[in-house]
Amino acid sequence: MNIETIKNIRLGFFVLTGTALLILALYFIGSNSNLFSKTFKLYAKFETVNGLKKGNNVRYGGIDVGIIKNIEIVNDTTIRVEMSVEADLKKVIRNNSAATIGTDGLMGNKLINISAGTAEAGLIKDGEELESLASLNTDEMLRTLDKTNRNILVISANLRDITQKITDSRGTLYTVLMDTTIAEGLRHTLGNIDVVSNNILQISDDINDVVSEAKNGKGLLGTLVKDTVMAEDLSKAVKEVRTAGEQINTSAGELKVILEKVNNGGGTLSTLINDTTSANSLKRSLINIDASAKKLPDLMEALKHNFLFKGYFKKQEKKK
Amino acid sequence: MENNPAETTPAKKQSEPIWVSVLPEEFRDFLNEVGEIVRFVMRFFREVFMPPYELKEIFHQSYEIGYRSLPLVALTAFIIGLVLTLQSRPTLARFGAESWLPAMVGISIIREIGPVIVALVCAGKIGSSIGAELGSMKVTEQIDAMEVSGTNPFKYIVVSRIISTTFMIPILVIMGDAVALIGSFIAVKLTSAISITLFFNQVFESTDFSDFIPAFVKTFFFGFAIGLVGCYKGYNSKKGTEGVGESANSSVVIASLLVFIIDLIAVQITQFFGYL
Repeated sequence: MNIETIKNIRLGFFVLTGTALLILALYFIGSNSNLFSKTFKLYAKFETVNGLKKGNNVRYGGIDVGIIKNIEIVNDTTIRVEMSVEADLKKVIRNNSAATIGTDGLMGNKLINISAGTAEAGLIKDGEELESLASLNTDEMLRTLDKTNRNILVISANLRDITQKITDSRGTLYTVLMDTTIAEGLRHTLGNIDVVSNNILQISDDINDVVSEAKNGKGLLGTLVKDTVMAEDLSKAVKEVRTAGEQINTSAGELKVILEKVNNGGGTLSTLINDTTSANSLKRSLINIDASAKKLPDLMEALKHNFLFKGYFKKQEKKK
Repeated sequence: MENNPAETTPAKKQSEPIWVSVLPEEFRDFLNEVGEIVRFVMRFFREVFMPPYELKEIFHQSYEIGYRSLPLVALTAFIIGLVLTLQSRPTLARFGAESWLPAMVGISIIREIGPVIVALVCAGKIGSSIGAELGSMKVTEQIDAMEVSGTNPFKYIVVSRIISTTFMIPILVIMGDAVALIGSFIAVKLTSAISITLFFNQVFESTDFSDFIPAFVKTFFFGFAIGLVGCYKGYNSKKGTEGVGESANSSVVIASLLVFIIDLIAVQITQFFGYL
């Protein structure tokens, strides 16, 4: 083989290798953009696409299955996104699958995530529109996080002040927190609470028994609940009580009338109760009577010794 | 035999226009040089489409320029890929983004580093060799001898070389990119457990046609510029043997500079068309 031929073979190998590498590179880049696979179109409408661009990926179950083909503004609040998705996905994506705009990692490119639908819904067809879900807006999230941070800052500052005050004051709370004996006491208390709770449990069991007995008509409560005769007696008693109550009510009404008369009328009783002059006069009279009564034995004694009445008193003694 | 009237017919004595006479001599020389280059380029485009086609010489030059440059290009690209990865790793590791290393290095190599490094290496190797070869042919009057023997020296020497550089540099760049990515993979593999499939998946996932096509297209211009400068400097070599060295030297310098200028223009154009 002459030198020229060898050179040509080498050159051919060199050129073919370079061309093959070029084609391979184009193929890998192209397959990444779904250029060499069968695809179908899907649409989704969003209010905002958050910076989504043509060529961004479409994912289903975390796998890249297509790209964004076109983004067009339909009206002031609707943006329609056209997706080119691998044809195999026709067997998987359902009518109620939803499209959301997400991000590849924290800082990566925007993409559309298609979620799995439910089995009841039918499979999606070429050119159909997917339901879209509003995505989490990073700006919105950061704004909320900023607010939360500010609040946490205030709370932590307050907490620092409070803990500082507790430490400086050495007050009750400090003692509660630092005194180990309190902890011991607390442990005892917890033990007692445990015993109490056991007792409560026991009581609740007992109550349960009572209630079940009552349900079965056993015991006094059971009789009260289940005994129909007694219920009738009780009903009768209640009726009687009601009748008595009504009578009392009537009597009370009559008493009221009497009392009103007493209050308003000019009778003796009213005078006695309401007229303070009469009351005072009566009081004086009573005092006088009392005084007279005290003097009465002396008078009686004097009468006994009086010659006019002496005979009478002797006759009375003889009768005795 | 086709004669270039600019070279064969003696220039008629003409009085200099006034605006030329007021220009500084260096600037006049510069304008003269630019004019010569433009004429040279126009002649190339005229000759390249006109038969006869020196295919044998084109293949020979392609072998010399392409195949024979491959070891140097491959070695340089391998080292660049390896070093770029090793140097980038600490910075990415600081941000916890080591997993982005293949994507980042891949884009760097395909878009910029690969084409420019390969073009610079070729400007050094091929530019100087063409400049020196043509310069020595010029000063030893081999070119004049070719004309006398009935061969078109421009077509045989210049056109074949420029065509070869224009088509071989892109192939060298593609191979250089591939070798640089292998170098990068080895560097990544040294520090973390990654399969070659995952590495190349990550590289191509983050690469788009908008990264690859403009970078590939500009390599044709790199090749054309390297061949053109080498041939022009060698073909117009003067001052005897001393001029050979000067031709080789200025070929390398100007070709390297042109690579950067073309790169800058390519970036501006791709930016203008929204590829970046």
